[in-house]
Amino acid sequence: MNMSSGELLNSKAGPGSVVKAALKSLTQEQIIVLVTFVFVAIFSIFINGFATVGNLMVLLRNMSVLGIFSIGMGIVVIGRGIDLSQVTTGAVSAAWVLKLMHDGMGITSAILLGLALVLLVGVINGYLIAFIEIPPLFATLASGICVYGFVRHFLLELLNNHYVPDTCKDFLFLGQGKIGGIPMPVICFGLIALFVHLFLSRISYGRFIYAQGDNEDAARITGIGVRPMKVLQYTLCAAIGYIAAIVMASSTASLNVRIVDSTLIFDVVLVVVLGGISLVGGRGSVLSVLAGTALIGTLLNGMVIMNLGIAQQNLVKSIVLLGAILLDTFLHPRDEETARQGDI
Amino acid sequence: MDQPKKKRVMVWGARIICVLGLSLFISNVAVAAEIAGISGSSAELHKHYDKSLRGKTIGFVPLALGSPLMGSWDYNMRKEAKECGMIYKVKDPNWNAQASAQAISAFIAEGVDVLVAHNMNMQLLAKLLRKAEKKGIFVIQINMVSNYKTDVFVGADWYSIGLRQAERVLKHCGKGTGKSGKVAIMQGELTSAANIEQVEAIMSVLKNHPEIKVVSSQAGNWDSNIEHDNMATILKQHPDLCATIGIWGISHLGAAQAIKEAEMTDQVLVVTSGGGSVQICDAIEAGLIDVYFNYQSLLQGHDIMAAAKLLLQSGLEPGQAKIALFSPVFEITKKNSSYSCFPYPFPEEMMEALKIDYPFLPISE
Amino acid sequence: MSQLNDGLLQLRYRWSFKKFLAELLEKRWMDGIIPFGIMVCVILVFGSQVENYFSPDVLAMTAREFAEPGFVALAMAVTLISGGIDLSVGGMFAIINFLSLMLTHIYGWPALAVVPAALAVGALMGALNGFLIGFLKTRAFLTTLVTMIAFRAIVKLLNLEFAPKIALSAKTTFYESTVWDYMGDGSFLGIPSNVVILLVVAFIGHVLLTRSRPGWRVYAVGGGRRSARHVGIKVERTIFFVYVISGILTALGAVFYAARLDSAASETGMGLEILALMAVVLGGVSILGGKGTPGRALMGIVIVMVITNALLRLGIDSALNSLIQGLILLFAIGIDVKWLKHLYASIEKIYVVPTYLSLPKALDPRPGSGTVFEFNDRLKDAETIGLDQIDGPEDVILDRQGRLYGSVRQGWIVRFSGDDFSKRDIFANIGGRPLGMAFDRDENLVVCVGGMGLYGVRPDGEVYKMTDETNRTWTRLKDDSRIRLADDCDIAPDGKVYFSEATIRYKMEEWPVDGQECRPNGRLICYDPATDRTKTIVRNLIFPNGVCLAHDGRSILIGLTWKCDVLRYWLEGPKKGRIETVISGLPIYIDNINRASDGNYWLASVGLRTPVYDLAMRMPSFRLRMVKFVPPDEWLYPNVNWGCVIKFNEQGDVLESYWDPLGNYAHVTSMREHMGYLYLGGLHNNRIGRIKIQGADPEWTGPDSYWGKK
Repeated sequence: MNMSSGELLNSKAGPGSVVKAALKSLTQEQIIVLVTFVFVAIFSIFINGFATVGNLMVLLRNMSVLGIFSIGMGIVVIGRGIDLSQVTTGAVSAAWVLKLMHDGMGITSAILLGLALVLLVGVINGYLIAFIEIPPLFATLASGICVYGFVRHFLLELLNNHYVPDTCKDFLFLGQGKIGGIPMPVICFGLIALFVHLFLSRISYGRFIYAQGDNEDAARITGIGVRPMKVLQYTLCAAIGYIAAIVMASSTASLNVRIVDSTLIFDVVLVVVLGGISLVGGRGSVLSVLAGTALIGTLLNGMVIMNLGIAQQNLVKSIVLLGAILLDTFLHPRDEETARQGDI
Repeated sequence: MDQPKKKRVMVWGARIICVLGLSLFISNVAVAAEIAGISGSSAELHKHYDKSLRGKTIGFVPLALGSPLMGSWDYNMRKEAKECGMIYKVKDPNWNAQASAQAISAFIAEGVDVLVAHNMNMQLLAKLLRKAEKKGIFVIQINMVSNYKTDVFVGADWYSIGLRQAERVLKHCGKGTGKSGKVAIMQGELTSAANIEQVEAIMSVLKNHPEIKVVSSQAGNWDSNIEHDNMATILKQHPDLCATIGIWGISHLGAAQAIKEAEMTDQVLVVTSGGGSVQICDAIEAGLIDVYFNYQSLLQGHDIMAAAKLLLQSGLEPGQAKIALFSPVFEITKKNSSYSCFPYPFPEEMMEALKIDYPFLPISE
Repeated sequence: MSQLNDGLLQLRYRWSFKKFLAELLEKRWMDGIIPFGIMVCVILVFGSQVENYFSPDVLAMTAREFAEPGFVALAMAVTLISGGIDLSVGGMFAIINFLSLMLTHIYGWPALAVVPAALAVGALMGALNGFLIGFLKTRAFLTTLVTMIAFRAIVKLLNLEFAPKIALSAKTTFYESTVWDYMGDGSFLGIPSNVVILLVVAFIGHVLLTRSRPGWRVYAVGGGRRSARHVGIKVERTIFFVYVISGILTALGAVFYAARLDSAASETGMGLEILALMAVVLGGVSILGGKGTPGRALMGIVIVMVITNALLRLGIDSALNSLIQGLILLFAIGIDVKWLKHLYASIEKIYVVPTYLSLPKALDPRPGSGTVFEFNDRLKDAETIGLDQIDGPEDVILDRQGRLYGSVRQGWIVRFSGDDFSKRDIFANIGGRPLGMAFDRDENLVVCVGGMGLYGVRPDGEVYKMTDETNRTWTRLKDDSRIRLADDCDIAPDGKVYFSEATIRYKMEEWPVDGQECRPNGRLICYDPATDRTKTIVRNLIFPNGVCLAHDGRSILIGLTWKCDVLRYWLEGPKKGRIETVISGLPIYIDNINRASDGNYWLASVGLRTPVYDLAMRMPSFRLRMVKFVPPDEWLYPNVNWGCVIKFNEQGDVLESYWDPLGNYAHVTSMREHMGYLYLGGLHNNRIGRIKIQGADPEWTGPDSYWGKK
């Protein structure tokens, strides 16, 4: 696992394909970081007010929420899954937390209750995928719709917008506070990145995720409890998504559950895939997420400064994502002999 | 319909608008009279009123329920329909265009008497609404006007709100104020009638003032998170921003929050508009929003019902009337923010009012 | 008394619900029965809840709304069947809708020109998806997710540019066109126009998909991409066209939508992909690919639309609505996954249904018993032919030139020639599992091929099909028209080929399992080369195996393996068409029967009956428990390890028996007499053996006996 895919590929490359080998000797993260630098350079030259410390801090801050979501997603994608319910679950649970606080509950107990809900959803997702063996795409697609309907109907009284009440101003520290001049969302992002990085690279369970993502059957045969592992992944993913949603709610002091209908979840997948966590599983790391976040953050920031509309932004994003998918297919081509049925 | 008759209808409509403020009061009096046993001059009116309204169905298709705007319409329609013995039905398409069309079709199929449609954009329901009128259903459109003009339009006058917003910004940033003159406009959905008209009005004023520069005009899809992130970026790029105009207050709160984070609330004038729920007044008190044009969504709900009653009693055929009821708009600032908003979600006491069983007398012959 | 008891027990075990169920579940149309049931229930339940749901007006209106998602569901179904998915249908729908309105309202195109233009653009967008997924091999889900975002963004941009113009044109006048209005509002015989087109398209699609070569390719690619590639299907191209078709179907739905609503909203088609997905999965189109039909997709869309429409009309709030929809989706997919996963396992679990069979007491074959079956060593000195050059010659036969043929496991007919049969060549490669053989008048070799049917091989080695289908038994649930396990054949003087099919319930490699059942699953079939007609003549035989034309050519002898009987079927004479028992209750399991030079018959025995298994045959519930709870390799099987060759006469008296104490020819499935020698074949043998027969006619050959000297 310590050997990057680039090195592996490089060791096999023949002398004839120097350019291809050179390209392949770079890991996808490195490519993305390079591309990011190119974008930063271009934007700095052509866009006024881009290359300022202030703007870069805004960029980082704006990307933190997306980054946190993506780290959670990264874990399941490494394990060859995907969680399309992540944003929904996080958002409606955070909205419930705001509602609970509005109804007079304390900050800590509200957040803990919300966490319990999210963990439950994560476990259910994991159960559906690991034990009932529903393909993750469909399981999480459906569970997202269910969670949205359930929470909105039974817990949120159908309300869309939720606000942080005056009694809970402390809650805003998470999203709006600063420690040593660094905004809290950035700190949260950093801490979670660090923890997940340590988890994935230093803890045996984390490394098992790579094994499982790489080849589930082999992992099972070697004695890894693949099913409980999957439940763990989806639970972690949901929990991290919840943190992201809480930070998001705190930084705008409100939350609109309609965010569920937005393209945010696709942005999350975009960041993950772009950074080099291939959808075939077992590849990439937290660093990939950081690289992907940097690129998307730079792009979005640049496009906003250039005054592009949401539609144009989405168009550019989808073209970039398409490029990322093609790159992924090029670097990790589908093996027709081992591809599994229903693995779409 | 011949021209003079149409004119008469218009005049009749205009009169009704004038008395709208009083009609709530009047209907209460009417109920009181009914209970006491009707005699005298109101008896005849009451008979007509009861016969025209009792048991009639009014169907409502909002964009979605669950926000203060649609919630307050729903509340008042539910309450007032019950008061006059009408049957109120609502179908919630939850921001889904197809479901919206389906809901309208379903109401047409069920044969309601009055249809209240909240149109997602200028066109979505146009053809269906025409069909409804042909089938003999009165159609009231609210807030978002469609290409096909039905019997009644109830809603904010977006153009005038836009003009007033621009005026406020001019006063704050225009010539002689010594400010940068940089203005950001935070749009909602680019194709919605409200958005188009309001932005058009704002631009029509601002373009005559070269000192004002619109530095950003982006759509946030009615999403406060997007507005938040966009505003944060704009502020870094234009630290001397003078004012921002939001189309919808609820989503503009996101932008206001970003301004607060940048500690620029004193410098940037935040102007927006909306139905006037309590979250806005809280934000104004907290200094997040400076000027808010309130088109009073609770009152709009009442207007809808008034228009429905009017149509049902008028003896007109569906499609004959063309009435606009533009909602009265007043400006909320820090001065009047403590008493200008309605609570949302509605408190228990208000919800209790929906459960009252109103006494009805038999319709006298 | 005991006979009556036997009869009753046989009756009791003859018909089994489990057998019925297993064969029912095996039916392909069963996959469609469940959604059909759900559809009926949903319509009844929700229809009764919503007021005047079934009035013709309302029904027509609802049907009109159903049709447009119906087209999208068809698109989704095709992509799912091909093993992919198309999430961009909603985006495409919106683009086409917008485009149609743009062309009609702004550019004033006639409706008849708009439709092909819209379909072409739909095909183009589908081609983009198809190119990426088919040729560049990106993953369908993500790719179409991204193109969905892109298409939506394009609609938004178009909307900004043109929506005001469309709005403006609509403000002054509605677009007037008879065709356009007919598409949006018209009906044909009271059925809305778009529903009519949908049904026509679905019907054509159904026929194309299930009854044509390109359609089968789609199923093949979806059901097993690797196998499809291995058999030479152009997977890339198939997938490409699937997405093109998806685009066209979606475009068709969108054009109708445009005509009906005249609305250029950019929200058009939001969530349509989820709706369509939910529908087709509920209809029984599997997300794992290769399963489902357009008809089922339509059933699915009816279910989903009835539910969503009813929930909307009942005024259920949107959150509860989405909760219900999500649960339904989850339920449908869960059922789909579990159904597919467990269907075959459960069929397998209940498929074997043993029945009661009581065999008469067997004659004792032990040494010293004094019976005709008494164990001896007459095969001990058999010469060996082609040792280790041949794998399981089930049947052996010799031609006029004295060349020896064996039907072997590889699907070949192996020929040995030369003085001592030292020259080996592969006479023909048929495939399948060649079993019994016979020469016809023109010296063509007629071969029963397990898994394929009845084939012929001309003297030059050319293989041709004779038949692989017979008339179907319409009273049986299981389709028995295909010939699965043709076992042995013989040819009557008039050229008709009579052959046995051992069992219709099991495949070649599972034939011992049929011995667990001992059901009359086999039959005797006649193929007439003159008319190329195939007909089943005797049904319900217990594993009919050997078939041999009697010396006088007037009747056929049939050996029933598990029943240990030899039957005679009269081809002509006073008993024509009747069947009678020649020998019953042999102590051995019968395989092939062939003529002997002395006017008697040789009979190969594949195994020896054992008291234990005879007992088990009378205890069907015991065998059932065994089949259910014990792994197959530990089942109690009939003994097929130790057999012999016997000779019997026309009256059914057993004259002598030949045994091999060495075990080289213990498992004999066939024997042929030729010029005084007896040649021995075995299903699992690695050789052919021959022994000199005492007192046999050294000039006698099989072909001469059948067709006379040449």
